[in-house]
Amino acid sequence: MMKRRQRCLGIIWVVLYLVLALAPLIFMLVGERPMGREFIRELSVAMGFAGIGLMALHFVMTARIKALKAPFGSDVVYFFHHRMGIVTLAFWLAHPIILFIRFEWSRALLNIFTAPWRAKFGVASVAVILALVIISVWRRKLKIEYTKWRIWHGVLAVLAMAAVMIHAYMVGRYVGTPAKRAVWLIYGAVCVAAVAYLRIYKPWQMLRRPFQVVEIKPERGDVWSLLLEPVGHAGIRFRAGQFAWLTAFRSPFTAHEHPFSFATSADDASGRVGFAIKELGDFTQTIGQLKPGDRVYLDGPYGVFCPDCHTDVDNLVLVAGGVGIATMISILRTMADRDDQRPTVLLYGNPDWESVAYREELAELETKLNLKVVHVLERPPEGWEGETGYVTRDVIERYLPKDGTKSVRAFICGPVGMLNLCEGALRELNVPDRFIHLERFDLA
Amino acid sequence: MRHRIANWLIAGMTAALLLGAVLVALVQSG
Repeated sequence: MMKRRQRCLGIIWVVLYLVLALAPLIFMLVGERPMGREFIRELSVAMGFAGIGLMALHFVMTARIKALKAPFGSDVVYFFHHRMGIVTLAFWLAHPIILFIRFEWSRALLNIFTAPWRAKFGVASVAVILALVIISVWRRKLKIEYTKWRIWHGVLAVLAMAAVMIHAYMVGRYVGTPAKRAVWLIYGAVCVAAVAYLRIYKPWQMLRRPFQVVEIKPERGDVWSLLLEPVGHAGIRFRAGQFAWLTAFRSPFTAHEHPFSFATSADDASGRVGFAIKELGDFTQTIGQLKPGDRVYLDGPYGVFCPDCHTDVDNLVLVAGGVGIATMISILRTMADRDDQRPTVLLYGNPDWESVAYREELAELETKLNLKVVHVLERPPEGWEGETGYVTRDVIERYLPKDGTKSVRAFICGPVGMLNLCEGALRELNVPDRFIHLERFDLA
Repeated sequence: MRHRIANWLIAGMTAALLLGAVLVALVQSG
């Protein structure tokens, strides 16, 4: 029932997206229409309007609206956002490039000293969106710190949208009537509302529902276990496998937040929630500096990477790479709290034995649950008799339930290379696509 | 699976927008 509702909601969002993306083109043809010009010039204008519509939709897509993300999962929404970002850039670039190629006079508009203001805003909007896409696609190569990139990403998106709207209004073509102007004002207002929701309303909600650090504990493999408790409220109800955005050391209004999977049991009645955070980047390297009593803020839960989000999960195959264990330990702790005895295999890849976070607890969970933990080590210690190398097709095949792959539900969390390898292997082993669930570490 | 569907949606949306832009340009210039 729940799944059908989510599917219907997903279809509604996709149709709505398509309608809103096409709407600027339809508006060109309804009501007052300016005198037509040659095809190539009108095509350039149409590409520009389609690009503005697409841009407005990015604001909505990334506003972290739960109802919008629930049918797809956050990772897919961000994946869609990344790819459609490139498409949006292509439409924005197509508008001036077509003009420059076809009409020699239009190249003079590139001269920011002599060009009219409408052209200056147009050129500025294209330059800004180009910069936005460049810093996003090559963030790591450009060595831009994640939080700085997030702030600049938002600022540039707002600037690009503002500049292009001013450009369209100043050019005045196809926005001549009050009705058409109103339509574009609504597109602009939706962008402003999405930014306000994400950067004002949500942080305000987080500020009203703070958490405090109960414990911060080092684990193997440069992982920190962070345990939090709600202050003055009931806490967050989540499903094992979901994640939340964490703000530490700063106010939630500063946009210095990072997504982490919950690592504690979803059935913890005390309201406490925990995360397993690996020292990987600028923020995570400072996580160990948190002290008991420190205020932190959470926004969540998000994500559909959870056995509880799916029906008929009889046989679980969990595959974790490194800190991907955070998600799996939450699933297993929740199963232990529920005395859930479904057959479960955990394939857990690590560089070496000393990097295996939570290995003692996993051994203990093996005695409580119908669970088989398989450690796969790239550099095994001397005398190691377990699996070595990576979680490959051969390894998966050895531990996949023998009574048919139709009842298997696989959940894989780890680096992208591992996700692709395991997804391909499971498909080759006849596990249906819809039963393979992936969680990417990095939404950026 | 979800990512593959997303890829198809992206391709479909892009094609629809391109086609839409061409049709609008044809109507306007006609």
